[in-house]
Amino acid sequence: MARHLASHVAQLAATLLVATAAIFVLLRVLPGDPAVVALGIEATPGALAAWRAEHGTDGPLLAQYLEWVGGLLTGDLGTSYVTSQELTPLVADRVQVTGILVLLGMLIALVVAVPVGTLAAVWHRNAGGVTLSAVSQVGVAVPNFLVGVLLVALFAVRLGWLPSGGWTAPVDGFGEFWRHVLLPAVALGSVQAAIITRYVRSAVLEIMREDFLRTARAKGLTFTGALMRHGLRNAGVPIVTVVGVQIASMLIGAVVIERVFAVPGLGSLLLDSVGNRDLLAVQSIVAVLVVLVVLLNFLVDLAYTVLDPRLRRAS
Amino acid sequence: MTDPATVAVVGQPLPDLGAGTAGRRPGVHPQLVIGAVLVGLVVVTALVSLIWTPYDPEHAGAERLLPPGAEHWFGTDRFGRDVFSQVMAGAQITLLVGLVAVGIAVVAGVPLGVLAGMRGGRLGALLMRGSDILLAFPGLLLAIVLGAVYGAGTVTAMVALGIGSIPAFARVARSGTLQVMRSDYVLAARAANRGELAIAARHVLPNIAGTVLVQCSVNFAIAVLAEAGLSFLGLGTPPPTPSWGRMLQESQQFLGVADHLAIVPGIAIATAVLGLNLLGDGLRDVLDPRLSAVSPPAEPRPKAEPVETPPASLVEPVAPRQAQEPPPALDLRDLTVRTGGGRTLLSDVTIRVGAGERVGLIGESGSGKTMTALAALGLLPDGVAATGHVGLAGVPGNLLDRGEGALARLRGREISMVFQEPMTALNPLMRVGRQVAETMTVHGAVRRTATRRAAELLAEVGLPAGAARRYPHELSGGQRQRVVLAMALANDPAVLVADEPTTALDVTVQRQVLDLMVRLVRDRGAGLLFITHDLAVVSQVCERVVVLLDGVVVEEGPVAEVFAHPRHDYTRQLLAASTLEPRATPATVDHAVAPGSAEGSSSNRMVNLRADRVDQALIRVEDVTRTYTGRGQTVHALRGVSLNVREGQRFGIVGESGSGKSTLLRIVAGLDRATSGRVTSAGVDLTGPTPPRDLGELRAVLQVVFQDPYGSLDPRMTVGDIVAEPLLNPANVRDGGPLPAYPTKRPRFAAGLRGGPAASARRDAVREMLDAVGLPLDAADRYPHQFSGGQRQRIAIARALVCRPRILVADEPVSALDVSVRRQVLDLLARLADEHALTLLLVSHDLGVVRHVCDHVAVMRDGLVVEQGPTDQVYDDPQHDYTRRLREATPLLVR
Repeated sequence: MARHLASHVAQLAATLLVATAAIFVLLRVLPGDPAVVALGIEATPGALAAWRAEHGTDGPLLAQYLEWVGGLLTGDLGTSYVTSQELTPLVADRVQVTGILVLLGMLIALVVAVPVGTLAAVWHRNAGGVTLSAVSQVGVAVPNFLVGVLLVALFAVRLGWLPSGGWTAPVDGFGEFWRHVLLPAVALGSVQAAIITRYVRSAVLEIMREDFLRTARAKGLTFTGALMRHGLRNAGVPIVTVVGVQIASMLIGAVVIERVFAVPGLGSLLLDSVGNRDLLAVQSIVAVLVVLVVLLNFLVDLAYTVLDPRLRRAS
Repeated sequence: MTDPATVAVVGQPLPDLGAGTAGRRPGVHPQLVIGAVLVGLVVVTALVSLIWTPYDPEHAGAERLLPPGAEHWFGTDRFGRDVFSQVMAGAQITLLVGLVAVGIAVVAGVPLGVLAGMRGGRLGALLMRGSDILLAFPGLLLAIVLGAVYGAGTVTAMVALGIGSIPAFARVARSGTLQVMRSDYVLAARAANRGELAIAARHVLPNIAGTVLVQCSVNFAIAVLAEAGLSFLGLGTPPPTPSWGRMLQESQQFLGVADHLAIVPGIAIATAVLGLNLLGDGLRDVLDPRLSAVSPPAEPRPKAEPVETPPASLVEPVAPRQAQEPPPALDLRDLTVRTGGGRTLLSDVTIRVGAGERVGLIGESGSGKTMTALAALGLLPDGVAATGHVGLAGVPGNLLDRGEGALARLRGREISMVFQEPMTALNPLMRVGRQVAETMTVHGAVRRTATRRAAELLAEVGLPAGAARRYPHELSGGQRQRVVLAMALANDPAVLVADEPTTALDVTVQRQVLDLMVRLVRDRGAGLLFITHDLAVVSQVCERVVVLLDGVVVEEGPVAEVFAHPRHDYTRQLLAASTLEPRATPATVDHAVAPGSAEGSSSNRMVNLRADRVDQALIRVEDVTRTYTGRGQTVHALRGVSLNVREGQRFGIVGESGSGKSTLLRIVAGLDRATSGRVTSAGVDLTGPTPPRDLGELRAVLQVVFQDPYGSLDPRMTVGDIVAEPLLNPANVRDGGPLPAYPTKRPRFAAGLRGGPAASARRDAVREMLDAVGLPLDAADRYPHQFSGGQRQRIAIARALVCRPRILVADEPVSALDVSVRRQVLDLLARLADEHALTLLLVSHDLGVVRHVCDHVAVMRDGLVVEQGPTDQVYDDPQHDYTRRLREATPLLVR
């Protein structure tokens, strides 16, 4: 087990090293001298040199990379080239917002998808199951920002029940927080619910064909009992994978939902930085997102070993 | 639909679908059709919009924000542009981005995946790590980043989404490739001397094409969604080019005023994505081999046996025995089982199992014996229904009339079952002690009592102390079957139904489990319905026997009586096929073939080769070891094996699973390398890294027949192409080979260009070979799935012999076949070995099979040869303790 964990951690570290190097090359090296990007091509050599000295871009690239990665490790994301703001508190604040949105969205998705997907599998031969399956199939095809726009049209514009956008942090008022978070979380979660429903359905269908489920029935469990006691935990292994992959995709997908609802999340910050051509900010935000995605994959791998005893030993 | 309806059609012969359809089911697949129609709609719209739209989509000519109407079907936008025209034109950019993105991903990802899958090792691992890292950059994020650096736009979006999809394709291609590379048909192609490129082109790519296509459709949908998202963010196609995502974004400020601006492009996006997803799902279903794997046609019965169901007059009447007969513990009366499609799997089956009586139910694959067991417990699969009567002693009424809840209360308490496959019968995530205890808690036992009793039961079935805390994967197959047995007997049921309980086990383990089962059933006074294909096992376990053929009981009676005086033809034939008499005294072991004579026009090279080696071993194995290492553990498959196979000899290797017999065979065939020791096959030194040319020489003279006739034939090739494959490498075609008309003066490069001998000569050779193995000539144009297991093994033999090898190596060639076919295939092998003057190396777990075919045998255990010598001698007077045990454990048909 310890050995297993160690090899996973080593892989994780290697992945992060390569990924951050890729980000660095893509955003720091390829675009050219950030001083020129910031000051324009007509800037005087003196001004450029001063800018470089101020932002620490005058050393060799390797040193700059190491300094940046070192900063990431210690939680120092640097200072924006454009606004001269400290990035760390800004990003931390935005990560919270996006995190709340994504986790709430996933919660909504799971609460809907696990029972619905299971029923769709159990009823797969009758009209109810086919209907559930068809609805989820259509749901998968709808982009989440369309759901967002329609939710705004209905609940904010027509009915006026909820605000069409904006954000209130939980500490600033719990009621207001819920009023603001509900629509974006539902928009983000409903499409995920459809996607996960389909995975749950196929995982349960697969399990229903397993020999051990028949064994369970042969010893006196009813079909439903066998499915609940033996089936769902086995179906859990593939479902955990999907949840991990989908949380990662929601982190990125939230960019669009944040735009719809004017939510000040990490995605909005990323888009603003892109718009400002604030490359260091982009570089750091992308790094944070990639680290989160990679960590999620890592956690999913660990979850397997918890769920499935066959993977607990290296053998 | 991925529903088990397909399970219900088990045993249904596949309709002849003609050439070009490998495993396709007839009929229309609704998802596929709806998906194709929706995608077609989008494509047609995009194409039409290239030449015509109602209005210029970029021209603001009308009143602003008009609602949908006659003039403008979908209204106008804030500039007064026609929404319908914009949506039409927007299809262009959607399809373009999707197409290019998927194209990039396929072109980069598929070769990467195939390479990683075929090469494995460090390169493969490295490629996949790289692809995993890319997984951390989803397409949307990549598009935003690239947009930040190079400016947003159509090209950036396409490239970013394409790169982002590479890992998906690399993974799909790799896992598909790995699956293909593990198949026996690739091993067969290797054995047939085909190069890596040929294998990639002829076997890997055609077989993974389906899954790649499905992935294309799925990723196209993802790209459409992502493009819309990017356009929505203003990072996609810049205005004024119409784009669905941007239309949606622009609609936001007019919500409540002009909702159609959001709804129309929304529907367009959803239509495209829904269509692509449905298309992908439909393709997956249609291409999924598991779903199209309708089980193969039944074995053709020999001519003596009428294939159709025997008329009722042939069915032996059940002797009236009510007087001394105790009331049956299990009473199946007129049991008929039909599929939803109306196919009859069982008709009017009547079986009685008395209290404490052990009844054997015999039948070959497809006879309906498993359906009988499942019907008795009310466990029939969905879509299969039973009529008739199922009665249990002490339980009033017909079990068939009970609901699932009422049945469940009986199952595991009054009647229980042991299944065939111990590897999958247990829940892999639950400790076995709990699984046994659950049988008791389900029926009302207290948890603590059940746990204690479970430990006792596990001890009673002979598991070591502490086994209750183990997970199933920590136990061997035999141990797992003991767990299942403990579970089945936990509540002392009146009836135990055992469906091929020992078929998956080694003979020595089978013996132990059978003994245990008989003892436990006898102790409890339970009735046993024992289902098997193995007559010898029945003769040792059961008192009465029932013979099932095509869902009909054709004979029944006391075992001794039925086996001594079978009355039905089919029973007679089964009995005959089950008794493999020892091989007649071999002609001359040393010089079965005079040099050069039997092979007719053998070349001088061959004559010389033979003259040199006639007294030497054709296959020489000296102190060979093979060690596999990986994932921190080491397996010693071979631990110093030595043996010699002489020209013309029929050499058998017997051993149980894990004995190393198959590893040895692969090393001798040049398909694997020894870790140490010396191996020479047909004069080719296989020690150490063998130069490819020598290996080619070996494969021209040594061919292999594999165990699994279902896995060793490429499902996407015709039988003719399969048999002809070894001929495609000119190195395999020796002088005196099957292609006499082939002009020898022909320049080598021409032969190379054409891929070997002329096609017509190849066809002739294939036809001749198919005839020799007893297959009809039209077999060449059909596909493997249209043949039964026995016929497929004949095809594999034809492929092995088409190049006229000198040595034929067969790895468990009959272990997957029915009894009645087993004998035919063995006799065919023996006959061909004589006719073609072959040296035969046969590996089997079955001592009887080796004794029937071989004149010399080596017994292997744990990577060592424990005993070898002439078959008669080893069989009749075993020197080694293990050989004795093996012999004693092998069930003998007592008649």
